[in-house]
Amino acid sequence: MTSAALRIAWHEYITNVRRPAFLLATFVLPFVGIAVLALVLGMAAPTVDRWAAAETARVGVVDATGNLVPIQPAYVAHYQAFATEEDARVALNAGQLSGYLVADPAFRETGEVMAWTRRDVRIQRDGLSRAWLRPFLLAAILRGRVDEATLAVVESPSFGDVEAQVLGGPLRDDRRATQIGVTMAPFFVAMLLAMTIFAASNYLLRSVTEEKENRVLEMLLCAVTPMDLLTGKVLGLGALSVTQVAVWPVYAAVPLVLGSLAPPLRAALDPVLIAFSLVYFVLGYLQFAVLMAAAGALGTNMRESQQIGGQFALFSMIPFFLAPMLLFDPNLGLARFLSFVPLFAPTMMMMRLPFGQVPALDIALSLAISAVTVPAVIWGSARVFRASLLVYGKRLTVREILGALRQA
Amino acid sequence: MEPAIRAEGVHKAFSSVVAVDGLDLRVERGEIFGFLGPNGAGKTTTLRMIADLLRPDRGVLRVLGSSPHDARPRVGYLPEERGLYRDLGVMECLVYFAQLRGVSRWVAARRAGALLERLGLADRARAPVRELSRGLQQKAQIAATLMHEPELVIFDEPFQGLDPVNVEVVRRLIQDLAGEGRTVVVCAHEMSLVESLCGRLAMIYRGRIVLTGELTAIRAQFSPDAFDVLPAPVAEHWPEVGSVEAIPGGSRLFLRTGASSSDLLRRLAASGMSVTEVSRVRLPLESIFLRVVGS
Repeated sequence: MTSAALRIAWHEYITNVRRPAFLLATFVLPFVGIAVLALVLGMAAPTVDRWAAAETARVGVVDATGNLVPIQPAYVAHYQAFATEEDARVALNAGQLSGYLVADPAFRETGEVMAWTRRDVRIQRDGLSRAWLRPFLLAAILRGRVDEATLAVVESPSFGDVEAQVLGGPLRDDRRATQIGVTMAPFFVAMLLAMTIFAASNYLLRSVTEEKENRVLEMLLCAVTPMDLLTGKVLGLGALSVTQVAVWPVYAAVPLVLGSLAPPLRAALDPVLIAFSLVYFVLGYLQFAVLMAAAGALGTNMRESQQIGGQFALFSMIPFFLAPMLLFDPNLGLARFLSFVPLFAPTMMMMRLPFGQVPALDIALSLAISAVTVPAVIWGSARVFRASLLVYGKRLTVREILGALRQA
Repeated sequence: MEPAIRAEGVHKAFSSVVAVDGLDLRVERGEIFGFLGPNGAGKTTTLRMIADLLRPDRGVLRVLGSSPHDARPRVGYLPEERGLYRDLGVMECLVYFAQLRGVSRWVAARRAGALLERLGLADRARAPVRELSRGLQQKAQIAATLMHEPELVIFDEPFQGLDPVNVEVVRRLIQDLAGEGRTVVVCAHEMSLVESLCGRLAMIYRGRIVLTGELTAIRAQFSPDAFDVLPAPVAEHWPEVGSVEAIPGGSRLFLRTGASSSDLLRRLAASGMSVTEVSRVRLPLESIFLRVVGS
């Protein structure tokens, strides 16, 4: 590393750290992120505690089988028997019920009931979800067929819950308490980091394009080599991104104060996860930053450079599209495949890791591939960067780019 | 001591376009050298190779006795495509460029102050570059080129956008640089300025040097064997004169082959006419340029 590269890095850092766009992204964006996180957790709350949510629910029961009625004492708070459907419908329309069930004679064999409700009723909140009705119906079917102890087990709210354990150590203790929040919070942090890669790379693209447009580049290249320039910019603007990321934990204080967000936040701040995420962040940044620098040098103006850079960005967004599927299976075939593909590997792994146990082989292989990709991308981009810098008013052709890559 | 620049058979092509084709060039140390040529002749490519911004495909190129890469710290290059950081102050910008060249901040600030003073920009030292007029930015760029006190200075179009007063400021600066023992290569379209500055020059056309040497020798080579005489004599039938052209207030007399300037002066004296001025015709550099490029 030359002193000129360090000087450029410092210049890039100081110049950009004062820009309004940076200040906005650093001091406003985290608040938006926290607001979104709180919103998601708030929306997830009803499903997290399905029993508490339906405390006020009242469901009518019209039973032609004698299995559901009379209502057992444990359920009278939420269920009410009706002699006819007509009576239940009147109560429903009067707002006394959130819905009513009709069990026909086949219920004993099929376990199926018909449920009626109004348009304004929310299935989850008002006690008409399958999960909420299930213990009541199950108890009705089993009563008289099994002993009371077995019935109590089946009726328990926790019946059927699965707590996964992993060989070599337990999962996070607070997993059940805020299941979705705990799973999603590390993912949001990883996603923010992954997005930061592209934001930081975009700084590089803008920086190179601006200097090319202002004709500063040739003056700079008289003083330093293209490699010094590229290294300095990658370092300086990378440090800028690290500053941005480093500021975020300060905002952790806000949700920590809000008790309900503390468990997911603690999960998001899992040191092992953060350490891996940062390694992938650095590897991902180095790859995309030099690519964006080359894109900036290739374009003849900001619009053209952003078009070229946009193509890289779109290409690199593919791992983000897999996010919904990763929630159910972080070791999805396509996700694993992309974890081994150069350029995709860092972001793909950053998104897989928060969702669960990723095989150590995947981590080792993706790290190795990314580590090899970085110097290869720098090597190629530096050549394209050098060849494009002094070309004004026209874009290099594919042939010229290949020629630059071949040049020793 | 090796010359400041020595190029032998230098070749550079971009894809199928040959920009420099077997260029031979020699610039001595301490001289002001003019490097001329029409647009697209290969001037900028040649200068960029000397400044180590481009590498020759083949040929020998030595700068200050070293490879262009090794000589880079001792070369100052003012490129044709130039600019400074628009949001930085003039002084801050100059110091930054000097620091990139390894000059300490303190020394850079001192040199920047002196250069801005010399170029008449001292009062704008703190102003952002974007607030300077084009001409003043041009002078700031010239200062940036000199911040590391290079031994070889290459100016590509240094007079572009300057008013006559500032042209004179820059012209004197170039002369001072040569006076300090630095080698200066000037590439400009203002031929009269090149004439007034350079002792030697080279003309490049289609990637090749088509003319090089001492300015006086080149002018003598291209100038006709003719004299302007004021007022106009009746010289059509003089044996020393081949042809006569009218010029404002007098005549241009072209000597017949074999006749000398002494023969003409004797004839003028013998004619008994009152001659106020006799001068040898010297073609301006611009005419030579047009003639070389045209041919």
